[in-house]
Amino acid sequence: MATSRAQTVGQLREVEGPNAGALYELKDVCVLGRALDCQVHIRDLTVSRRHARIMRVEGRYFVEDLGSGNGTFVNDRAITRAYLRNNDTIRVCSAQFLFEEREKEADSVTMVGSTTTEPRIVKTVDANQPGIFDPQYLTAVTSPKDLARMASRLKTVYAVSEAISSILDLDALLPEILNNLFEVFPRSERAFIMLLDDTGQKLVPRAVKRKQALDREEFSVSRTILHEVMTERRAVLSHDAMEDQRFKSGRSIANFGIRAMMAAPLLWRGEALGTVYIDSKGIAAFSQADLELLSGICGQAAAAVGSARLHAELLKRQQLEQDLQLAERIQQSFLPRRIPRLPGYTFAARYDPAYEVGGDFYDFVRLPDDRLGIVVGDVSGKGVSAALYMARLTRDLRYFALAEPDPARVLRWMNRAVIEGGQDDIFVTLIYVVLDAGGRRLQIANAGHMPPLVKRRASTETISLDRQSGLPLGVLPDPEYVSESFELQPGDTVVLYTDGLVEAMSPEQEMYGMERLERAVLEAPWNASQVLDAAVRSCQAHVSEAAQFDDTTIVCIGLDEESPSGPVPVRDEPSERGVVDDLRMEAVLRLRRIQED
Amino acid sequence: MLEYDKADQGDVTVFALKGNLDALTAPALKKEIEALLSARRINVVFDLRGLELIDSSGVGAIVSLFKRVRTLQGDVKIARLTGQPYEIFKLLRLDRAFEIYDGVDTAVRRFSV
Repeated sequence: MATSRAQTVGQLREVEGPNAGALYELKDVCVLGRALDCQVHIRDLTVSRRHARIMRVEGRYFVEDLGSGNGTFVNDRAITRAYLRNNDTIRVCSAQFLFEEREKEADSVTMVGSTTTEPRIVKTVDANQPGIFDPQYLTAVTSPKDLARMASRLKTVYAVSEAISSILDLDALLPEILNNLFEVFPRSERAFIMLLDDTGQKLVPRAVKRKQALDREEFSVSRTILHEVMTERRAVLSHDAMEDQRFKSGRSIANFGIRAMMAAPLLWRGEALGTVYIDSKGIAAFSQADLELLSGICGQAAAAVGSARLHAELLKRQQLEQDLQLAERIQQSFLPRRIPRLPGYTFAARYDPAYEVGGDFYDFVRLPDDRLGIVVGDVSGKGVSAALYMARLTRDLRYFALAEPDPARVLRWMNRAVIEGGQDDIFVTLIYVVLDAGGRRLQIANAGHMPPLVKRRASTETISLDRQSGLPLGVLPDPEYVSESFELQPGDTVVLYTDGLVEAMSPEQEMYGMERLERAVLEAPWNASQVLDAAVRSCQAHVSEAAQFDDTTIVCIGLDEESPSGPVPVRDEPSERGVVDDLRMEAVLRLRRIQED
Repeated sequence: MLEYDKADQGDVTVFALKGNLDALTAPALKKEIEALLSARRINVVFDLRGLELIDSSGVGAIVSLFKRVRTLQGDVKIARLTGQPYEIFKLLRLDRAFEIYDGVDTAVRRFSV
């Protein structure tokens, strides 16, 4: 988007009021009010909970009264909406603010061809490779010391990720990335971020940071390095302190006017969005380990830059209808396209969305050693946020399931992920089953979800597997989950389902209920897809013309009747892992967040 | 429809709910919850005797308050849980997260223990 107006940044200075002296950086949207979640929180009972807001539209700020009880005043005039100019005063009851706007300093970075002082690249890291951020690698590490070191490094990346991932405004995000890099690499003296422009052809400097003393220094960067970073997608390091020959010869590199530098690409969904560059006159400034860390952080930064861009696009079309369709598409795209096939077993699954998109989900995850993970869950609430949340959980579960064989422990990790997600009013019921195909055994862990039903051949009652359920995910920080083992017999069909099925209402407002479901399951032929069809048909007959209120999901797992008895593999019982296990949880959780885009 | 009645007993706020707490009425309750938190009222008893129906959005609203007050060293206790809401709490195993009491006064008194 071309704009002739210089980019400005605005801030509010509270000159009178409960927080006099406070300074607020203005984001794209900033709400003033008494509610705790207001960006400008005013402790004054005469202030409305959401009193006024300041928005930036196309580089200009304006303030808008949100129907407050006592009004919003700009330069002592009551306003409903007004553009803000530098040094305007805004009064909200007892609080008075000064609006200050300044032009952003011009960011100048010169790109130069090859020169004699060109930094020599001595180390590179392939930014496409996860390296230390590879879960396989992590799973293979067992020494507590190594795990602790890796957890600490992941912690740094995670902290940076946390600091930047919620900033959706690119102009605020990029300087924050640089601030964080200066903290992680204290010897940094100058840094910049270049992003490709809208044409995707030209690198444009978007943010520059210098140590104060270097304010006026000219900043130039070699095209060769940028090419290496952008085209070869490598993170590069010059003058590794330990290995640079010239350094070893005892001559001061500073005399050559050469700096130690690191640069890494911002790779997002296979696309190089730009380059992050840091340098320092200190010749021992950066090491190979720093380069790997920078590469990891840049993965996070790239995800944040990508999200900020998507967000900007999304703001452009803010129609609910479109959002709903988007949510539905996202949700559908995360449900498995294919039902798995395993010799001796039959699987069936069905998801019926309600009129409004809901938060049901199911998934099959192929695991090593002839095992299959099966999950059915339900995110509380409906609509776009539940659907998006469900998509995220599906990814989390796939990831954790591959890293951890014990279902109860997978739920512990999932719970932690939901708690750390920080959405207070969301909780998730979820059942996770690991089928050991050869051993004909299920390991089941349940987080407050509807108990599975088992239809057993020649039995007149269904078996309900509800002995060991724990709390739904996201309620308490560290609840206990238990893995329950269930031996399958030939002809068994296990039915997993969500409450939408049991609670489906007839036109007379009568619930479908467990009893009807149990009867339908009992009376069905034994094959898994026949059981599923029978349950769905029975529920549909009950609901008949009534509108479907909630999503319904049902998944059936059947062991064939004449299934040949397979070899039962030798299994390692999970041993007492204590500290190592907790460290691994930390590491895997961090890694999961880090790899999220 | 949801009706609610709020009464302070010392440090404890007793919230009596009547009617249905579901996707339609939960947003109104959430507003009340915000007001409680703004006023730093972090010890809450839900008197659910009049609550006829609760769904996952409704449970979400109560869970949300529970999580937030706990970070502030407060708590949410439940009193007089019966009927469908009781079944839901049991089904979701929330009886393991919340303290549940037969009487409002008992629940209020537990805060001073």
